[in-house]
Amino acid sequence: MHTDEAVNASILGEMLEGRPYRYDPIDRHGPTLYYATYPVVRAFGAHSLGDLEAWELRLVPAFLGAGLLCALALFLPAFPPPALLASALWLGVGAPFVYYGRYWIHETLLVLLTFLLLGFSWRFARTFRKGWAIAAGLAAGALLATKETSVITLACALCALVLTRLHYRPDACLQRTGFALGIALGIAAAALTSALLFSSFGQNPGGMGDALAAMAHATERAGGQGHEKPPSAYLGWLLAQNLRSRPYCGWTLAVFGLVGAWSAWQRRREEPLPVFMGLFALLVLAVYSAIPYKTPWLILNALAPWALVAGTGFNRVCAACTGRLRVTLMFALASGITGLLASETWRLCFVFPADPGNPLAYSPTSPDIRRLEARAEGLVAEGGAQAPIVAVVGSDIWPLPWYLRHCPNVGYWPELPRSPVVTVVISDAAQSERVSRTLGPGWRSEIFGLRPEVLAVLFHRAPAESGIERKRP
Amino acid sequence: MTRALLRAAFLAIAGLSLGLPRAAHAEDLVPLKLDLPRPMFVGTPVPVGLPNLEAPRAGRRPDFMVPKGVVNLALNKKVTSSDMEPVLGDLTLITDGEKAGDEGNYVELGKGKQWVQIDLTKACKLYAIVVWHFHSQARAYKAVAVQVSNDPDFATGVETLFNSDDQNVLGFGAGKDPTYIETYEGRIIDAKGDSARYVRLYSAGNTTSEMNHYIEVEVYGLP
Repeated sequence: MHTDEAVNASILGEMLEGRPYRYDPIDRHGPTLYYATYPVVRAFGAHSLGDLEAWELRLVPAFLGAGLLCALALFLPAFPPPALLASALWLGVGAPFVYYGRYWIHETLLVLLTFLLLGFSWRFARTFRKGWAIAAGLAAGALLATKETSVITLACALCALVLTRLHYRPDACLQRTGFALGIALGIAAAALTSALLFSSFGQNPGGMGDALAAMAHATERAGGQGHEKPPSAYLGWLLAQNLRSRPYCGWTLAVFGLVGAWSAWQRRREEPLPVFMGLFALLVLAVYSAIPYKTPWLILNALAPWALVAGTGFNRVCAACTGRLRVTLMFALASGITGLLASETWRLCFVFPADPGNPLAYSPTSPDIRRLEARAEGLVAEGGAQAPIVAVVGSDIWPLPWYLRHCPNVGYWPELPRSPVVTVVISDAAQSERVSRTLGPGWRSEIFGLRPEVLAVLFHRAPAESGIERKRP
Repeated sequence: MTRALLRAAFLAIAGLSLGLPRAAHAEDLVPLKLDLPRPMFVGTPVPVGLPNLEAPRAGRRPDFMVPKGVVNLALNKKVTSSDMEPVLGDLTLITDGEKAGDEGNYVELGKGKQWVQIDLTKACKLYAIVVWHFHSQARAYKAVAVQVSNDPDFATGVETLFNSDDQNVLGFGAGKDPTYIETYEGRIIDAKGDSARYVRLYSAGNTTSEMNHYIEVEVYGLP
């Protein structure tokens, strides 16, 4: 479990124990992921953090990723079926989508809601049906209540819309009565949805105000806070050769995307949506690249709409032929792209998922933590009915709360507590010397890795001191 | 009385006969000179001052004394391994003399318990083995053990020089040597003047991943 997943799991654990979600503008993202997951884990019988299993949590992003593929249908007929099927290859098999599609973090949900917002809006623009406008409003409200970066998504979509309209003059749609009413209904639905979610369905009315206050903190966080990367970082992660695989997803998206962008530009006066999608993707990429704070999963917000543009490129390449030759070319290209994407995905997502050389593995949890988990559980089991108290000391200890969730008496302190008496201590590296001094002689220590360059030390009484014959975990 | 004098005379002669060569040997010792690579990480908090974990030093490493005339016998010597198809790099990197921590300078062996073995081509008196696993990140390698032998299969005449495998993952018995954080200085292991042709180094993953890495191994002895 990645650190961010472990943090999310502890929040969900509180909800399962009966404490309602409270939005915290400093430390938490929006509530939609937790509300989406809550019924799933309850269906599996979970009532606390200790009852949760990783696969149960990860079912949610897996289904959301599948939903992303289904949402492609909303863009018919602006994107013809071959283009959408090709887009589905990148979204369904591409390494970034598969990798983060099994991370229980907010990004896949954010991308799905973006697609739903754009798709419903597109449907509304074509039909002026109020139902589509309300659906788009619901998606926008949920989007806002998912993550603070949704503001970037909405701002980029608005800019892309303005730029697209410079080249595309639709029939006087603005004069139609249904349009204004639809817009008003959509905005109302968005406001109501986000208010309901941020206020925890009325249990925390202050959450709505906190959501606005969060913008100030989000702006501060955009400065980096230890995640500063150069503007070229996203392109580097996508396109540069890495230790573990060739970047097939990035390069195929780049090549077919450029063909698609050129094709969309040629037809900008007849069909505006591909142009909009290309501009939207590029704007999102530009904004995220300009912001010093960078984590690789943020790039999904640009890659997903760009996959549609690449699908257009795929369709354009195949359109160079006609008849059976076209079908043959389509099949051959799709097979080739799938093979390349699958080989990269296999290596990055299944062979080296937590390897420091994997560009998608951002501060991954070290496999060594499994040993620490087993060691701590073994020491606790030796205590018998009187389960020993496990003290976790320090600030840089994530994702330990997830891995120690089955230990009955575990507590977290900034410094080693004088009382109660502890029998197992896990300390972050910075505190380890002080902890060792405080514990005094008779304690044995073992070193474990939590994340790359983040080490923890487990202290337990040496056998001679404890008088208990220790078993190996 | 006579017996006591005789005993004293015998002890004095024995002491001289044992002590003089030792004193002469000590005078022949010189500090081991290592060509160290550029440091790769700074500022990462690492555990310090812990029982059974090696405490980091303040200041420079104390001199490790070796007899005059020792050379790196492992340079460009043949390396074999439990993983003859490394995930990254190749086995020749282990004895090529390049100790920089950058990508391309290390070999990565598969997950879990793995070993590499250096054939010095003939039995030599060995005084120090220096190993650099990986030093661009703060990490510790698990179950590090170093053995020497004249048997290429390490079935007989095996001498264990270092063993930090306190969980007995390798099956050589629980090791008593300290776990240590890798640095650009490498780890010097006292070879105690043992005579051997083969040097074998074990590890079983590290605190960051399950893989095993070697940048360089140097074996100092008299040719």
